[in-house]
Amino acid sequence: MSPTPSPSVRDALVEALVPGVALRGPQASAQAWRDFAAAAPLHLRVGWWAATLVLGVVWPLALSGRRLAHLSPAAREVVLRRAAALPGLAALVEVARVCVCLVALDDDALRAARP
Amino acid sequence: MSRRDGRALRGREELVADVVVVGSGPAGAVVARELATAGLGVVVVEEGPWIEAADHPADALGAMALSYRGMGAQVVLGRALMPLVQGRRVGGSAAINGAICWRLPRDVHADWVAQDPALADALPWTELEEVTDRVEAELGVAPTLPEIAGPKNLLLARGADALGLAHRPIRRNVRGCAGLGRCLQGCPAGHKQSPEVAQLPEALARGATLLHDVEVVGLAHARGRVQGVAARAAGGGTVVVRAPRVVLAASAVQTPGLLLASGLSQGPVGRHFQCHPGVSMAGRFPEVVRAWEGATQGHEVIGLRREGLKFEALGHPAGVLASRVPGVGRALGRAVADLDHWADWGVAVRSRTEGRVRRVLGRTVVTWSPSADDVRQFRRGLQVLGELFLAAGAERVAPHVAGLPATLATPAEVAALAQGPRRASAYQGAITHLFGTCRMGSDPRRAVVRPDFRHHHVDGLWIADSSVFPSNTGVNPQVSIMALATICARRMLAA
Repeated sequence: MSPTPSPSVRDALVEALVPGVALRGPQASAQAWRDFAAAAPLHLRVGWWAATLVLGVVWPLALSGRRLAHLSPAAREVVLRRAAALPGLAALVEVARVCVCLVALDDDALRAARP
Repeated sequence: MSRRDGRALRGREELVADVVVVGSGPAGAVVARELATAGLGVVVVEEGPWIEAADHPADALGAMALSYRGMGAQVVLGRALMPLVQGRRVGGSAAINGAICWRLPRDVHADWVAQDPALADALPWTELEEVTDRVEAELGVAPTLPEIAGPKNLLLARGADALGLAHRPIRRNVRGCAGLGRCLQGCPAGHKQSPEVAQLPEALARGATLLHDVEVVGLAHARGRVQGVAARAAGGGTVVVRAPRVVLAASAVQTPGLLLASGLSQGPVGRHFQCHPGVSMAGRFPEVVRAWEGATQGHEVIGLRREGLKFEALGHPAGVLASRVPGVGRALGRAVADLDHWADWGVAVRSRTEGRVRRVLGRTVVTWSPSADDVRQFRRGLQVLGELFLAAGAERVAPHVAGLPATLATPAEVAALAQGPRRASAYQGAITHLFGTCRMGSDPRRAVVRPDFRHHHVDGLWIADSSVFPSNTGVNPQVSIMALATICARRMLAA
């Protein structure tokens, strides 16, 4: 048994970190997060859970009184940028960045030829 | 001859062999092939899965979940939680490395002999050279061809030229490489001559049995003599292999872990853990790079090797490269949308710092912390990486150092990296190439195995992997591991 972030908090954090770029579709995304939960070691799952909890709920509540999912895109970005600038939270932002890039981004879309 | 899948083993299996080899990476595969060729009955037990070349996933998540221990996210415990990257599959880490080949440097061998003069005769340089020639010929080791190198490698050459640093195409163990850029996921065409391609098929053809998805959990031994291994199959079954000789080739982490789990703690087992920590930097070029294409790791800068720094182009899967570009929110989105202009280059540090492998609550853990010297090398390495990028034409670089700007764009900003933070946790490093935890030597108080690879205290027990190396090598070790494993097999046959 290990902590699992709620999909709504998770998806809000994904959208805030990499807004609208090369993300997997909803079904593929859900499967990828299940694969991640099955394969990742406990400390990484805990780190990801902590990142979603702090960056998706606690920190935005402290800053603005609202969860990340209930903020505008611009406000979400401010919340994350301020977290990344704080030594105590920057490590969680980095954990979130790595997990999101690994799991939520669609490798095929990333590799697709661009003009 | 057979290959058996532990996922299908549910009951109790008992096998009898002349030799059990634990691990199927570069050491285990070579030993198994050599002993099977000599007519011995060999059983190879591998914890990870057998993966057909065509089944290697292209995407980062799929590859890391399938082939990497702990999805590539296991860590060493210390002042900085650094990932320790190992394969967990048939072929071991060599199946998911960058195919980089280096011969054991003469100065490293000289260091070993200086530490223990008995190694001059037991592990003579002439024999090492002879078996290395054989290994390299078998693996088709040759410099990366420019037509398959791809921009990320050629740009590194351009930067090194501009700085006047010695550099060269990386010598790799590939045959017919098409520059698919997927070495780190496992070559989908079977071009990389990793153990599951180069040695294990021959071992199986000569009568060896491979049990994959079967984890050895203990060595059976009594009255100072090994009797075989006990193992757990992924399907839930138990496997016992009885054999008068056991060869441990499970890596410099798992081999000492298995000894300790089996109550064999004589000598400095688990101590003297050494590794090659590294840091990397991403850089954005005006031209298209498409860093996931071309030879995965095709060029290296070797001009500072004597200082303990070796620079390499990296060829991550796209998802991993995306995590190396800077920013959050729209800034990260823009960089990811622009990913085909980014490259990531790394520096491997020849660290002298030692750590330790222990068993804690039934698990094998590694403790290791970068020393002040290591952190100084991270700073110096990142500074040189930044200089290489700018000299090659990059517009900006992302150093990923806590407390420093997310991107640097001028020589002065890059030069300031040399004065970066002194705390290890400020750097995003990773550890590869593991050594020394069952080191070889003539003094049983200071070594776990004798100079002929036999365990000092347990008859019939041999260790063939890089845990016997008296120190790290400062260069990529797979060829050295195969060379020493060849010699280990010779000593076993002569015993």
